[in-house]
Amino acid sequence: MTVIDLKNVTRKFGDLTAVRSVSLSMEKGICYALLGPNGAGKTTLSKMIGGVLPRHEGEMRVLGMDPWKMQSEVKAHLGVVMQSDALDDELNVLENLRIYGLFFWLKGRAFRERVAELLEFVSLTGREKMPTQALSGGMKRRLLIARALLSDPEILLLDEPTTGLDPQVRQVIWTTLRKLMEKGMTILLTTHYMEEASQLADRVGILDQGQLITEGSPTELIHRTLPSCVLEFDERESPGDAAVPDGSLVEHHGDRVYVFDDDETALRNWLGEHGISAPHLRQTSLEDVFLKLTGRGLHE
Amino acid sequence: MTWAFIGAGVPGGIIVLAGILGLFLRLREEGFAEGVLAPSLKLAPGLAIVTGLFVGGVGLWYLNEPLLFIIGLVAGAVPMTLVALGCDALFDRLWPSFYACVKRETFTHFSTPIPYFVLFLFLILTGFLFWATLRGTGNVSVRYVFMSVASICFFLFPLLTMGLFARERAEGTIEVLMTAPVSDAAVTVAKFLGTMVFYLAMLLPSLLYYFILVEVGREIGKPDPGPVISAMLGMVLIGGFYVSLGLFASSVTSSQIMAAILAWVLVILLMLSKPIAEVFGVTYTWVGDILVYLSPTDEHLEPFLRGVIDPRDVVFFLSFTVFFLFLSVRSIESRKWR
Ligand SMILES: Nc1ncnc2c1ncn2[C@@H]1O[C@H](COP(=O)(O)OP(=O)(O)OP(=O)(O)O)[C@@H](O)[C@H]1O
Ligand SMILES: [Mg+2]
Repeated sequence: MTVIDLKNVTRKFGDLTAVRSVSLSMEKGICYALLGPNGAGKTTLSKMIGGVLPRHEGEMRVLGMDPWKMQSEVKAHLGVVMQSDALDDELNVLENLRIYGLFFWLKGRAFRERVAELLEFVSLTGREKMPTQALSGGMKRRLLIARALLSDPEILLLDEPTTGLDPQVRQVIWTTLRKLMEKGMTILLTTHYMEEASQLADRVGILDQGQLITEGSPTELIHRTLPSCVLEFDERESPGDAAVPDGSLVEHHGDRVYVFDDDETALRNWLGEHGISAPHLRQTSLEDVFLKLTGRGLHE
Repeated sequence: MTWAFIGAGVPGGIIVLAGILGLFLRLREEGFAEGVLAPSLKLAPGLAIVTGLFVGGVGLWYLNEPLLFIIGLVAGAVPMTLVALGCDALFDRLWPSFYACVKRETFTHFSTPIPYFVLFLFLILTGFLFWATLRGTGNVSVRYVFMSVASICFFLFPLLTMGLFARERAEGTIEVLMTAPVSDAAVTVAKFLGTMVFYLAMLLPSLLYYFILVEVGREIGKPDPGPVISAMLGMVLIGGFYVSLGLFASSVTSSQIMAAILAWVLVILLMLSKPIAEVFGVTYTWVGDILVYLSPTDEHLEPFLRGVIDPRDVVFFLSFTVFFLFLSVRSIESRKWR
């Protein structure tokens, strides 16, 4: 079943086209990761899906409804975690949840049970009375996830759920999201982290300057874009692009040189011939795909 | 004294009953500990203490009755707490998701210091004006009391309303509302009502001046209770007008200061519309008529304070309130397109 379906969606801010004719569709129960550099339009796209922003062109269906025209209905079935930590700072953890729960007619005993369950789920049990100002970044993000889950949504939209968090917290959040996926939750997340996408996502879309430039499963994307092995070394040691083995592909990102080839032995032999110190021979990753497709310079 | 008893007793009795009912409902739903610690109670004690101290303090000050201080304290605090609880539980049942918005407004917005500062200033200023005039002339009319209350309101209201949208935008909490299943119109009306609740709580103690006048009037002639009722109605109406105007000012910017300034400018322009008409010598032309008609205090509040409830004045305030609420909703919606 298709739960999110976009056709040629365009959104402008004045003269700037933040999202340019994006088409994508998402099946129920999958995790879709939108990758893209800063300013690519990830937030804008997820806000349009969440019914927060209108679009200027294109067709959109979320659970069969137009998210802008049927905002309240769509929002009632979505759990959203926005990029900014939108918590009411004057209230404590429990009160933040309580107020939001009221939007979904959740109160009394039903509310208490749900909150106990959710706080346990995001490892925040015992923090009910803490003012949200006193929470760390990771706790805030977990609280936001708990709040988004209050209404038992069908789709979860997460805008950069782990940006700015330390690796441990990131792992905790990934575990939480994996548990949700096991229960059949549909998740759309945006991220800068390739690792996050390859760890969690069934499908990945790369957004660059408002355009969806490629889409597919992580392995599919890698196979489609680049050879399977890569040799990475410092530019100063490069024998020159002309010297690489036949059929290899060379890329330069910053002061690193990347030589891609399907034949690992060929790369190894070549390495021996040129005596490069501290080389790094590995499998091609999503990160290589991302750099190749979005270019290496800054877009801002 | 009979009037005083009826005036205070009937609404007081209704409030207490509603409160007890509300308390009962809340406790049954949430269980004792949760019910009593509900966020509604966070607002209640603040209001109760301020009102209680004020009512009691005025009793002590003017009537020189220490006992009145205690009675006033209780008389102010108990109904306020009960009102908060009662309204809370009742609305919760009638209209949960819209009321969630109102509640969020009342509790998050009024957990900040500014509204309490406004409340404090309001009570001090009105109390002082009342006292000074009573001292000066020995006689104060109901009309005079409420006229000064209204002019203080004009000055203080932008402080109450400036944050409604602007602060939420600046702090990013507006996203909570954006992702919740409520419409922009519901959010706007909720912000309006949340502020009105606070305003009413602020206004209620000024009824006390009337009872003081009754006391004082035993020597110099009793004031008529009629104008008090109409004046209260007028104050509620002009309050709605100011709040919706301030709400609109807050909806067009992300800066609280800008919102406050815009609200002041709008109100001052409206208040000065009569003198403006005179300065430009258009008083008896149609332009002048419109300008004069737009003057909220002179043209439309004044009759209420004299005890005259003219439906045209009611229509003026209500239509402007609705108009500014409509503008606010439009301004929020149009921001999303830009
Ligand atoms: N309200 C707005 N008004 C004007 N321009 C905007 C607005 N919101 C976003 N933009 C612009 O639209 C473009 C896309 O922004 P968006 O926030 O969607 O990017 P993003 O992919 O989420 O970036 P990041 O990774 O930094 O969060 C950016 O160039 C941004 O400056
Ligand atoms: Mg973003």
